[in-house]
Amino acid sequence: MNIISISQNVSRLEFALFDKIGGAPLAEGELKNWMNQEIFKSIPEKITLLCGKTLRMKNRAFSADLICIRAPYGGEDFKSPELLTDKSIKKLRKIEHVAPMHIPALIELINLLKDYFRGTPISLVFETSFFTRLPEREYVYAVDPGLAGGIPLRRFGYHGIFHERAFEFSHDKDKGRSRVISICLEPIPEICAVKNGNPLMVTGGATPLEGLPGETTCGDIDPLIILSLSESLGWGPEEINKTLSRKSGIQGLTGKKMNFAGLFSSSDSNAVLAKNLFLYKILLATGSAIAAMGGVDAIVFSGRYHDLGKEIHTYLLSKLDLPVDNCEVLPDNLLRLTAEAGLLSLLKNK
Amino acid sequence: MYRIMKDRNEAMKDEVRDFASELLKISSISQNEKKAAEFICGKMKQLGYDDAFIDNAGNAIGVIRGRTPEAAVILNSHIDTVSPDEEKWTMPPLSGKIEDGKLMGVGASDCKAGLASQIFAGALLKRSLLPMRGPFVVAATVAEENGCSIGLRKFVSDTLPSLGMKAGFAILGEPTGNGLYYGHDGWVEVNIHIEGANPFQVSDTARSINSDLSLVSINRNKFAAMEEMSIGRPVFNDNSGFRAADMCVSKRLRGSESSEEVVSWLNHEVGVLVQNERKVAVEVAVISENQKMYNGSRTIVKRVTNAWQTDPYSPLMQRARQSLSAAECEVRTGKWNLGRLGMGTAGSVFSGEFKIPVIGYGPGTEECAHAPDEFVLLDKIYESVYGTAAIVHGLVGIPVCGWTSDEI
Amino acid sequence: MKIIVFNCGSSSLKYRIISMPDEKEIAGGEAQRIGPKTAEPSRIIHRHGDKTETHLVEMRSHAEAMAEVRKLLSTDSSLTPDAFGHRVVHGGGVFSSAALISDESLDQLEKIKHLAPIHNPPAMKIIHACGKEYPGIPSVAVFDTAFHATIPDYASTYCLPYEISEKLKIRKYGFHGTSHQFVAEEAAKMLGKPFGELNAVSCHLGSGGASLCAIVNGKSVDNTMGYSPLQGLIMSTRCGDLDPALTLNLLQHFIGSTADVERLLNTRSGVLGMSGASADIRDIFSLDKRDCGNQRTSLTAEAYLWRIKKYIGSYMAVVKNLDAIIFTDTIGELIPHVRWAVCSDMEYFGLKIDSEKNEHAESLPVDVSQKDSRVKILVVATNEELAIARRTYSLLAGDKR
Repeated sequence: MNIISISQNVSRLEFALFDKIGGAPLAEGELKNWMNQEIFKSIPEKITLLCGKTLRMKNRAFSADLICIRAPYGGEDFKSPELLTDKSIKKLRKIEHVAPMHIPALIELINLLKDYFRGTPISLVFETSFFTRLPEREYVYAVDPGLAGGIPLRRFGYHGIFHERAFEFSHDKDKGRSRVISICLEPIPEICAVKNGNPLMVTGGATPLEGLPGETTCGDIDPLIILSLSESLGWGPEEINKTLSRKSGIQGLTGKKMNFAGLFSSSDSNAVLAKNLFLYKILLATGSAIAAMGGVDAIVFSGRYHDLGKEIHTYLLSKLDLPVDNCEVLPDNLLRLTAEAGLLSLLKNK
Repeated sequence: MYRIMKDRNEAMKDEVRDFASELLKISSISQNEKKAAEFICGKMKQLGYDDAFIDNAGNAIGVIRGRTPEAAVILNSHIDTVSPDEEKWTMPPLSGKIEDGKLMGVGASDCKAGLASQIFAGALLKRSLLPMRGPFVVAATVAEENGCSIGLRKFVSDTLPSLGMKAGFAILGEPTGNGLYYGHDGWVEVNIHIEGANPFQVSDTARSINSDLSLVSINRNKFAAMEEMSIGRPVFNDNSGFRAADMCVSKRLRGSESSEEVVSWLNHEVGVLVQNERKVAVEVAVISENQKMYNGSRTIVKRVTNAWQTDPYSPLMQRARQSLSAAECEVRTGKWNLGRLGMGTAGSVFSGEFKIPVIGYGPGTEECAHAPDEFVLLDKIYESVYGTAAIVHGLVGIPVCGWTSDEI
Repeated sequence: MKIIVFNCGSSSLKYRIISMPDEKEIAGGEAQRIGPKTAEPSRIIHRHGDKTETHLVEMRSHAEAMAEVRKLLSTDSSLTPDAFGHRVVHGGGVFSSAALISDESLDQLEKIKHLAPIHNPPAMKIIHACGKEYPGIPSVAVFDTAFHATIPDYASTYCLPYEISEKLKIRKYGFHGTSHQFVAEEAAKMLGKPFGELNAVSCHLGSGGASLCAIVNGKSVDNTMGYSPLQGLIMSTRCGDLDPALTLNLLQHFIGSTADVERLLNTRSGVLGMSGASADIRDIFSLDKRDCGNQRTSLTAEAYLWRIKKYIGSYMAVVKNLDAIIFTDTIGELIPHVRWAVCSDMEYFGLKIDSEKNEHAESLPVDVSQKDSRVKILVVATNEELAIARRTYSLLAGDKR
């Protein structure tokens, strides 16, 4: 069975081919600046070409049996991965204003793939699905609910696929672990408290901008700072957004383009402050997570920088009375988890 | 968001160029805009506007709706051009020719390039897949150069309400060289009519008014409020046996100066001069014309271009500045000079009559407007498409804040 | 030494005359409704000994109010002050402790006025008025932010481009410092520990503003408020933590008007905005209890408590060898079930609240934890004016503790 797994980002589209669950991808690739018209049109060919080449080497012909698309935002109506129907598109249209950089592009992508890979089922896997189960007290903001002119004001998380799997991973090893802190180390890291498989607390917000600082994102800030920036610098929301989303976080503090792996190995004094700051934010969120669950049974690190988990865990152990042995690392990559989740939705449907 | 918009704008260039060039090939002298209006309307339909039609005044209207019915942003450019003085042109005025990155033809700068930019700004927002919060309307209006913006007036007073919309802000596509312009002075053309039984007396009175006003205008030039006036030579009406003469006086209106003030001032000046000439009657009035629109309707229009100004620190200007700056466009603010007599924009209709905040942003240049061998730079048009889209998005787009980091 | 302490709000002026070092309050009162005329007349409620009098006087400015207060005080020679202590909300990055007022310090205050445009200017008017009306008597400014000057850089830095934070002086300043420090000092006394060794989490839960403070060895190491008093907990009309994108969207919605967004987040959000019923969380609790609440009120109550609990968890993770968690100010002192909700199921952190003691915590200060609770749960009445008198006294007496 050939499963194409695709992950949607604003400017990068990643894809991989899997032929069985649990294995390594047969082929992997990515398309930068995929929303460029020319590049966009070539997406199906590029995927076919790469997958076909790999399979030919194994003397197998390429045909896609399932396409799984991982998307960052699906709102409240996508509670689990689902097989694409006309209804799915309608549901997406309804929320395109909530995640305006992602949903309209996702719809375009779906239509393109649907046309090209006629008859191949498409499964939509959303990062937010897991967080449709967040308790209301955790997801509300302390503002008038009618404030934003129809934009739903609620918190989600944006690494639900990792968090959900992280809990299962830990719980499968020991059924007694019902309270898990999942620390996902991606370019925008996220911490989630998962109790009995349900999220109780998460650092993400109404958008991925809130929460822990990321490689270029600011994370939590005082709302008044934004107003001060506007008044002092004459900036509008667009310019401020650019600064908070693309020039802040690790990059803002160190003045360099730097990922988390680089940050943890740098001895530059600004990088040391950034790292201490990041560790401190993780400590604060871990404390919140413990309070939310009334304790903790295990900690699981995941995401592309899961290797940093060990060092972070050592730091947390120096501060908190944590279960020393119940620290796990989930090494899986996102495209594989997406393929698994997508396949599950296909099987359920049958 | 801006990267995607820039990309999609780049990919759209040829379409923009071809449309602008085709539009320049269609003659659309005031009151003869029908063919051009139909062409524009067809294009907007093709570009995927939610609605595109020709309204009762003959304007070509394109609508892109937002998710909420809040006040619309109006993108307004006029379809009509002045009638070209062909002798002074070194090429056919309707060539739509492209040479060295220049697009030539009558109305290139004023303001068909602006119109093309506005129409394609809508297309750019659509193609960049950016959902809109509020609606915006492209109004390609008739009878601006000649006809005192009757097309625009009808659009605001009739067409917009019939769409169930009201205007929040307006952007004119008039030539600003892609600067943000917030106003200009005005002009008024006044006729002094002299009538009497004795043709010689009429002639003497006319000449004396002429020389007196010329003197006044020279002297008064020292005072800002009364500067820039031109006095035409008296024209004698031979049908009446030289017993009547007409003289045209044009004057710049500064700031809050109104045409009524000019008329009353002229009345006073002339009155003093003719107070001893009991057999001559003099009448001062703003020149008006009875005009027929291309769709047959008639209207009387006065030859007044009112001065207008939007506060340069108003929310509209601020947001336009901020949006352009975030989009990495040049941000330059200013006002039109109105170097040539009778020039103006419909800004006063928006701001004065309808109290709608208005600014100008268009690719043409003021120097080229109404001039022989009028042209516009193609690069300016492309920039204007992108800049206009950025401003519109800033005003009524769904903000993308929080969603623009490359990866999550 | 008799110290008059002034604590002014935007339309009020509280004063206390406290004799130091015995900390006895001799007189005090409050001038209310200062400014343009309102429905009710402006007045001064003055207490002296057991007597309380109300004086109706017109006071169009804080300086006028100050002059009226002076008239009341001059009637009794026992009320002549030796020094003034002023509460100033924002000390910027400049004042890390209480400061004696001089031309130089006034200059510096002037420079940071914009950081707290509502709070600092009236306080400065009072300082100026004191200088004029009582020449030669020293004034000391005590800052809400001063106690938080010890917050380490990794906790006070926002993840913004470094140059911008530098240029605009953007950092976590923290607020309510005077109160946090006062209750922490009281807690240290209760526990018989030197203040410099106290590890605590202090919860200042006012009916208006609220914040938590993490204290290590008697020093503030974190505060839930940030660059301004808008960040952190859900407050009566302030939103607390908010996704930055929401503020940006509002800014776009209001066509760039920062004033509109500021008003919305500062005065129309929080408990008021969420519930749509009242700005006072006590009203929300009682509506809910009487079962006349609706979904919005019960959600407001739950979210209010949940946010406090999460931050308590955060700070308990930050403060090692925690001695106590302290509750203070109106809500913290008077509403037992707030303490109960946020302390229950927190045994992981060594916290066990005693239901009985908690319900009957009337005479303060009191410990409401169970006997075997590793961390004490203390309810302490705050007294910002006394705290200001203490700072003033210690500065003037040259006793720098």
